[in-house]
Amino acid sequence: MENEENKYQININKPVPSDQEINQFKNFNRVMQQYKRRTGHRKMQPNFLQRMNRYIPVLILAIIVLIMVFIFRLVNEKKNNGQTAPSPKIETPVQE
Amino acid sequence: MGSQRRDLQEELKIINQAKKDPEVFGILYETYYKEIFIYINKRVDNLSVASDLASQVFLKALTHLPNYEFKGFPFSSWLYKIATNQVNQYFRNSKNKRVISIQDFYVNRLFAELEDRNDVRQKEQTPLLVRLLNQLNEQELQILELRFFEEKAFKEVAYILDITENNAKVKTYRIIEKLKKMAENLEPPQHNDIFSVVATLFLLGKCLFNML
Repeated sequence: MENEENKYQININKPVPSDQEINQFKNFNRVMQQYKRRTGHRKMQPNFLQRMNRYIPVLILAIIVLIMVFIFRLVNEKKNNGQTAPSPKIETPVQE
Repeated sequence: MGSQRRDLQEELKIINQAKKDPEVFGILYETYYKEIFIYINKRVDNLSVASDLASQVFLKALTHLPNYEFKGFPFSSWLYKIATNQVNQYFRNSKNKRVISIQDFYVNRLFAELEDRNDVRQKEQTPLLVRLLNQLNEQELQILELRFFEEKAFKEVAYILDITENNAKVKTYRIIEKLKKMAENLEPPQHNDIFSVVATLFLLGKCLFNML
């Protein structure tokens, strides 16, 4: 029933797999194990981080802004020092 | 109707217990595994893929069970919803062809809906339907499958596909109209075509033989 033009593979009157075939794949223990692995992973997260979950991005952003302000001030200060303090004149000794 | 409601309430009790103790979910797994497996296998036509997808459906259902809200449908509707999404995701990530599994009985039902096509003989219905189904897009196909091949009520179709009940009705009506129009344009396949070709070849051969 399958043509190259066909978008779908169409099965007509194909028998449904038997109960025995289906039961071969039935395994609730595997599902439970996967579930425990998933939920267990969540419990591994420290409680503090879980509670602070919302504030962590804001905290990180604030730290980045503070560091940038600090660096900016440091650079600015250096620039100002360079402008105000006159560079010492180097006197060349006069040869007699 | 009353017994159905009682069943739903009993099921709801099990779901609430399973929310507290995941081991209780095993009862729901045992009840619905076969139904969901068959639903997926009809779409993928591969037992091992169907088993993988079915396991993922139940794992997702168990993981998100605390978020489950009872909306008057059996728990299986929620599983169908997850299974539909899982199958869609599978086909997005693979190059395999989407499978449509139909029984003759459902073909007759669908053609009864396409009233104008009563003239189509029963033998011609299936090949014509194959040509028509290939013209539908994925969403149209899903609605058609759930409504006509899975025999779900409009409310349930809407819940599974995450649309409103009215929307499901309108879309189904439009699909039927679309199929009617396409059926009008498509001529039913000529079964005696092959015979006419064979007959022509035979006559040609006979003529050549006579000439020689």
